[in-house]
Amino acid sequence: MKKALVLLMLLSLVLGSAFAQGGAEVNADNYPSGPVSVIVPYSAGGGTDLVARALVDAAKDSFPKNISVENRTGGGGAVGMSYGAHAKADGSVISMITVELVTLPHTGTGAGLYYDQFKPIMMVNSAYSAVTVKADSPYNTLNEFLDAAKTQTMRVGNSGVGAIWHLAAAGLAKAAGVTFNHIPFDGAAPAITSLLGGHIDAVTVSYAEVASQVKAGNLKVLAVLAPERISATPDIPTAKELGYDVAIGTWRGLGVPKDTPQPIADKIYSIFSQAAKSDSFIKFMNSSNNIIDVMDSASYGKKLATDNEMFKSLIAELGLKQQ
Amino acid sequence: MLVEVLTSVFNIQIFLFIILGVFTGICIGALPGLTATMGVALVLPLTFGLDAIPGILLLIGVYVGAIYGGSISGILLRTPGTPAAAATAIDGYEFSKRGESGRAMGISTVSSFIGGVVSVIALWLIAPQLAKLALRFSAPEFFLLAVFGLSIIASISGNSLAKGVLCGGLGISLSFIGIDGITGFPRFTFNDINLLSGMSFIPVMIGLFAMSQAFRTIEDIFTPDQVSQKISHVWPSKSDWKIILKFAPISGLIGTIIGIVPGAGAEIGAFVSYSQAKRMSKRPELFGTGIPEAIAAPEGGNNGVTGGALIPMLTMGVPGDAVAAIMIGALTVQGLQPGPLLFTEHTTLVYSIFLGMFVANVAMLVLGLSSLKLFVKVLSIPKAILTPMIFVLCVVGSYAINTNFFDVGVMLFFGIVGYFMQKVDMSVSPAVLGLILGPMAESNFRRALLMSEGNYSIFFTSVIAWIFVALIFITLLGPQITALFKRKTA
Amino acid sequence: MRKANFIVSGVFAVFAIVIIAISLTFPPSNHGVPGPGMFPIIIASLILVSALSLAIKTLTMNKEEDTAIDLKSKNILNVYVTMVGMIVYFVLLPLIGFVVTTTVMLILYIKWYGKRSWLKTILIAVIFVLAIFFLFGSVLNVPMRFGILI
Repeated sequence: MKKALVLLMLLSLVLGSAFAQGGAEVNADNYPSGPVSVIVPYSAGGGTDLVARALVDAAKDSFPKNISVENRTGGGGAVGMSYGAHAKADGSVISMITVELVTLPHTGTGAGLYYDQFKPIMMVNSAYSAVTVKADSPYNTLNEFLDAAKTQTMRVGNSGVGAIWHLAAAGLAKAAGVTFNHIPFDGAAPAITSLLGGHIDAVTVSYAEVASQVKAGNLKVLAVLAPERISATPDIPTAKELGYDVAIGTWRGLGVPKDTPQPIADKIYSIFSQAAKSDSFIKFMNSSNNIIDVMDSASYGKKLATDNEMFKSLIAELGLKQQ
Repeated sequence: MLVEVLTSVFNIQIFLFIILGVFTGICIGALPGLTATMGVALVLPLTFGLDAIPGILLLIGVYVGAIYGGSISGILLRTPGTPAAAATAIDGYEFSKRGESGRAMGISTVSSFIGGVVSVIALWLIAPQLAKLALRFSAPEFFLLAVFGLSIIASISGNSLAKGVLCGGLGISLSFIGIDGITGFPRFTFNDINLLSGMSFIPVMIGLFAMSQAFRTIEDIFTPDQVSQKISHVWPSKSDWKIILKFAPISGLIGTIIGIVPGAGAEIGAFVSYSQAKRMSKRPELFGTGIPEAIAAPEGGNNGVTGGALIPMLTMGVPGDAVAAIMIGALTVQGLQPGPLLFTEHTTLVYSIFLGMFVANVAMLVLGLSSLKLFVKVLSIPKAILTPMIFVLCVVGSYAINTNFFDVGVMLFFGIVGYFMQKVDMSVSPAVLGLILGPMAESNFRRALLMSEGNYSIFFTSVIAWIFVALIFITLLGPQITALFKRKTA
Repeated sequence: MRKANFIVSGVFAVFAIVIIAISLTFPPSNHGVPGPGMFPIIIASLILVSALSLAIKTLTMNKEEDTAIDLKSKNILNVYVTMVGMIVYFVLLPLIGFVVTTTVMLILYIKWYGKRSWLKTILIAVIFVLAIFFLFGSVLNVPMRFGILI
């Protein structure tokens, strides 16, 4: 038995070192030279996961040595993104990065995560906040709602404290010079349920999340906090048009560790930007109420930096910074 | 919609998943040490790759099957396969001593089926109505509902209330770990990234229920396994049928009501039905000697809980028991949030669950009556081989949920903690109750005050709230009041 | 049982006091809305009271009601050895890999508990581990490849 154990340990050492040598020089021409994994920092079946899987599925022909999706959850996304940021910088690990990359570090719960640890590849989709009230609410425009908020306290539901829709409501309040009573829920659905029950006055979650209740005539959207009108709902004005300069929403994209060679990053961009144009991906995104919003590395990098600054000041003003 | 529901359930693939679930469930339930909760938790990762309807029906099949399957080992070995079969084991084993284990199992199978069907009908009648009412539930009502569930700890902690409260407190304390949902403040995280997102409760539950039980099995791993006996005369006789039809439907209803109460699970359903049957029976003195009604009642009662537990889960997103809590996880993974919106936005899914659960009960009846011999065979797997395999299943099960080794450590830690808790006579159920209902109580209490800007009167502004306040008082003080009355009249 | 009850009550009392001590450092209530420390303090106080009441109840308990708890017999020692084995397994698992570590663990336990022949033991372990590995790894897409081996 002892002999067997010693043998086993020796064997493992030999094999281990063999594997360590295995990762030879990588250059862009023969990328991907090995299996690639895509890190999703949220659990399987969630919105981010489904988008990642659909995109990977559309791109899988470009990865003859296999590409797989790995869910590494925890810390509100910090666990998975930290893992992705500190992975080998050879393109073998690609991460789904989300807006939490530029919000978590400022709430003090990012566990050392910072956006510049990534080299952004491309943005995949975006979703902006929709200011939504009950269908029988006395407020029919954003102006009416915000005017009323000056004299009475509006209870605005969001999907979690410090989460993007909380920040959206806070950003709107700041732009309009009012204060809301922010009510956090465990996710968007309980907040919407509470709004339907008339226990709160509004929610600021994404349009996709309220769409079915809006179509059923139970809720109405006053405005979207987007840079321009959403193509699915051309009748709904943006806050910007109404004089409130605020555009806050979530986005998802791909990133690799910052030391990844540029040629490899370019190759990954060309593969996935192609995949984002595929019929199967477009069909999936439309059926799941997701809005494709592709951005290349340079402009995505710029967006990361400006969003980072905006959320930093917003979170500080909200007093959400911990420790 | 009816057509959609029928086509979504009545196809070979779904049937196979349900039958597979029920079959697995019966095997898991029959094996002492593998509980219904553990079975559902271990099968959960299998549903990640499935669509919502087959996935959730697979879990429901396991649930229904396991609650029933526990009676098999209860009757044969006097060792209940699941805690829910503890009441059945008392009289069931007496049947076996007389060589009538087949008869006992037949009664158990039919009664479980009746109890299950009663609860499915109740689910189908009550849930859609409750879903409409659920919109009236706001933070204060949810808080009081959670406290009502927690007050059940008082009635399930058996001999020592103090130990029950300690366990419940432990469970609630575990739920504090992680980012506070109201202020975003990280509590008890000790700057560890794994603790930041809080304890995932499935690894804790696998540890407390399954792993600790597996450790217990090691105590007598070297004693030879019990030999099982021949099974015959499974189909109940005419006189047995009469008794079953008298007791099982009422027990099923009692079980359903208990299932609706958050926190009260199948074992309570079984015991309450058992004592109710004793009160109803013309021959209460014969309970414990092996009479049919002493099997029909608890088996109808524990399977009655299955449908009941799904009612608050589906309508409000509130877990009726530990299994329902796992099913919430299963639905969330599919991108479905249980709650009133489920009934308006995913109507087909909801009614498919109802219909599928009925099919699961039929599958349980057919499998139970036709293949009991096979399930008895499962009991003859030597525990020396089975127990190490359970270790592996516990490890893989807790790893697969978040693919995080930290969770495996959590599972192992609570396996060891749970083992010693059982040693000092502390039941682990209150801990799980606390872990599930604690955060619901806390966040809704604070959310309510946030909504009312610090005004405590918000807790007493609705009729629903007052009903819960009354229920909490009855649960906590009921036993004392009845005791007081008894003393006065005596 | 008396001794065990005192230990339980002591452990929980310490646990409660630690919770209270940590919770006191949390941010305070805000405009009547309880802060993050309120619930932990309430629950910990409840634990503390229960722990004390358990200790007092045990003190006044009849000697006859006392039941012995077995923590040292040979059967129990087997449990402890199993627990240590599982901890070692848990530590080695991510380092070495699922298939190898788990197979070795299963072989050792089954051989120890069951006294079956080596061939039979190894066969059972290998088949079970491979079945789990392929079920979770290939069918369910759970990443099962980690460690320096497989």
